[in-house]
Amino acid sequence: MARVNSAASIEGYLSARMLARPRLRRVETPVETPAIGASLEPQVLEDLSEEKFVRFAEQDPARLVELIRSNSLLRPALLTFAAEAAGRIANTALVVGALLPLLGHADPVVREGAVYGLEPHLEASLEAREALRSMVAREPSPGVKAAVNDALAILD
Amino acid sequence: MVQRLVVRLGRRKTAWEKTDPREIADVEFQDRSTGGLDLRPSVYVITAEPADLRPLVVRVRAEHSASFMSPPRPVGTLEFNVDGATTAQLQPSAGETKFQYANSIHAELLLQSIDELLALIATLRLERDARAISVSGNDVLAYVDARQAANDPEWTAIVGPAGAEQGEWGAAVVSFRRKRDNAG
Repeated sequence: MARVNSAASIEGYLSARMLARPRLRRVETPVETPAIGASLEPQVLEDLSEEKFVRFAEQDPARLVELIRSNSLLRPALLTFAAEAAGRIANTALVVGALLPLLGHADPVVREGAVYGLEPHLEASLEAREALRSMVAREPSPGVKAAVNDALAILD
Repeated sequence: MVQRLVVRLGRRKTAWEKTDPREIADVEFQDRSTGGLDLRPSVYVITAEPADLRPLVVRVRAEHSASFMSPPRPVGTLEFNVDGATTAQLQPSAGETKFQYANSIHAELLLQSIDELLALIATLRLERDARAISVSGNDVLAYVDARQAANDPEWTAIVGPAGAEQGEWGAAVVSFRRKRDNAG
């Protein structure tokens, strides 16, 4: 994950995405097109997005869970939306099994997304509820802590 | 006196805990359909008397969430007033929500480069106290309650009439409402 989080890879990613992005509706706007960075990550070439994660959750949940479990392939800014979309999957055991490890992710953006993904399954999963309760005291991020408290408050 | 907010709705509260504008951009200005950066980010232009501004931010958040949030839930979020934070042109454009009001005030910021986006984010971080607008899940839920009680046709199309909720958002609203009432 450190490599994905490095400033160099982020800049390479940002530049590459601006070139890769379809802009059919927006051709009238002048857009700077920086050169592709040298440190392209493999996932840059795969067109993953929040909308695609939601489609996976509805049509191919196993694919979404596979992507989440191999989370080193997704940068945190995508993994957080993949985790949230997983909340749509009906199989609570599948969702909880995929998302609980993300509660320990180094990036708070990912942990926040995991909380949102777990939220629809909290009533059905004692394991998920206990995991959230146990992380409150040690959670350093105010945003994640707020999300966890919101999720738990409506259950207690 | 009428005032204006140009509201960019937030995605992740934790994104704004980061210090690197590039990392914030990657989360908060990520295109939902491509996963890439959005140099024409959606905003909502709210013009109203000062006392009405915040209720309208809640309205826009509720309408936007009910149109796009998946899985559905009334949830706390961190929005930003970007008015005056960038020199980028503001271009009205048709919104794609399920609500006439939100669509009617939708616009896009025409950012010319990644650097311009990063400068905008730097300004928002610097002026966070004046520009951040926190909306709670209960704010959204209370708004939905009121619209249902008023038999608002746009809302009843999504959540169903009061007492006969339907669909994903209807089920979510019932669940959150029950939990809120139990907690309260």
